[in-house]
Amino acid sequence: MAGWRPLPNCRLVDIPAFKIVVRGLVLAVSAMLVTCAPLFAHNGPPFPVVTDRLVGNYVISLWADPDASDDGEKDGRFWVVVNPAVKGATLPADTVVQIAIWPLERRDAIRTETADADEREPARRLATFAIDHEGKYGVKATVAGSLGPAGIDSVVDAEYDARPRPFLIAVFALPFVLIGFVYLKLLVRRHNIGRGRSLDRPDGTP
Amino acid sequence: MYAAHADARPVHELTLLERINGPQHELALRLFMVVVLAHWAEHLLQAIQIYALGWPVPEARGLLGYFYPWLITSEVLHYAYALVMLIGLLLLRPGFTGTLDRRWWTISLGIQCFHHFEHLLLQIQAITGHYFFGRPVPTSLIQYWVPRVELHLFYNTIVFIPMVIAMYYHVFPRATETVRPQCTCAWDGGMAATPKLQVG
Repeated sequence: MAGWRPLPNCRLVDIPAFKIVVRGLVLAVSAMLVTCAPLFAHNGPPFPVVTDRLVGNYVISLWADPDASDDGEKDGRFWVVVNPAVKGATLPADTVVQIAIWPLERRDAIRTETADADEREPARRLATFAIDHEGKYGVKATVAGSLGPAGIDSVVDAEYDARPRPFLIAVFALPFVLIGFVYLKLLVRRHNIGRGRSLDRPDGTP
Repeated sequence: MYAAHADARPVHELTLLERINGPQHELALRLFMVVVLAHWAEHLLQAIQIYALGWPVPEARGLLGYFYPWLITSEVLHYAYALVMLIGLLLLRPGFTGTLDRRWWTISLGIQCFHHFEHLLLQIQAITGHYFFGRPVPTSLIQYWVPRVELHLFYNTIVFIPMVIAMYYHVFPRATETVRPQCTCAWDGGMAATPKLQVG
């Protein structure tokens, strides 16, 4: 990529300021976007809570997208992917999966839903809940059927999906700074042309 | 690709594509920037509503979402913006006639194309019911490596940065640029004596 390799025998002071700024910005944004990934507790797509755990006669995975909502919408979604432990076996049709959630501070507020099987993938079950506030929630999935009972549980953090992280304000403001810089510099240049003097360097570079 | 001498014909005889990549490239680029910044302003406003004004998160929907709440809860707005970006990057690219500005603009366009390829993959998964990587919902490729990042923001950031670099080199072309600009975007007006319009 042109513009990234320093010129031979090029001292730092000879590198145009814009190039330094661009390099810094690209590095900073890249680092931020990569390193901040773990900070997104569950903002966005579902994430695995339990992966391929052997419980009883089943292999169970639990996925969660525990979004809180104030309007009663069932934005908190939990998936259980359940398969027989024996490879090649099919999941019996009588298999029932129930998912329960509760705020950790109020165990008595437990709610239980029977997870619906996906039409195209019966092993994949989905239950949705209206989560009316943020915080830690316990989640438990229980499996019942002719292969016997099984259960798994864990804890998830519920949050409003639409809440941007505070540091993102800097990212949101960045385009205004960059575009502002370009157009402000342009205005100054043209203003100086209008006044009959140019900011051109002797070598013709901007 | 075809070439035309933009200055050989009066402006009113040029096609729309020739106009917005020639004498009206500066205006078209500014309008495009207004759209781009309006989108960022929506995100910024939402953050201000939450952190500065103390609005409840469900109420903090930016300006458009304030009047049309359904826009925020659907994917329509996000995808429509991605589409506008793709079209804008594609239509305005011929006007970037320099080496560096065209290269950076093309990088931006390439990333935006990949963004749409990701949308296609999501659509295919939704239609077939077979989801990638054993996930319970349709999943994009980037999510595999950056599992929980806000992809809308991620894509718009990595598309925006090369775009603004391209604009900088377009407005302030290096002295080593051999191709003369066909538009008035450059700081000195940039109208060459014998500009050639290359479209495509």
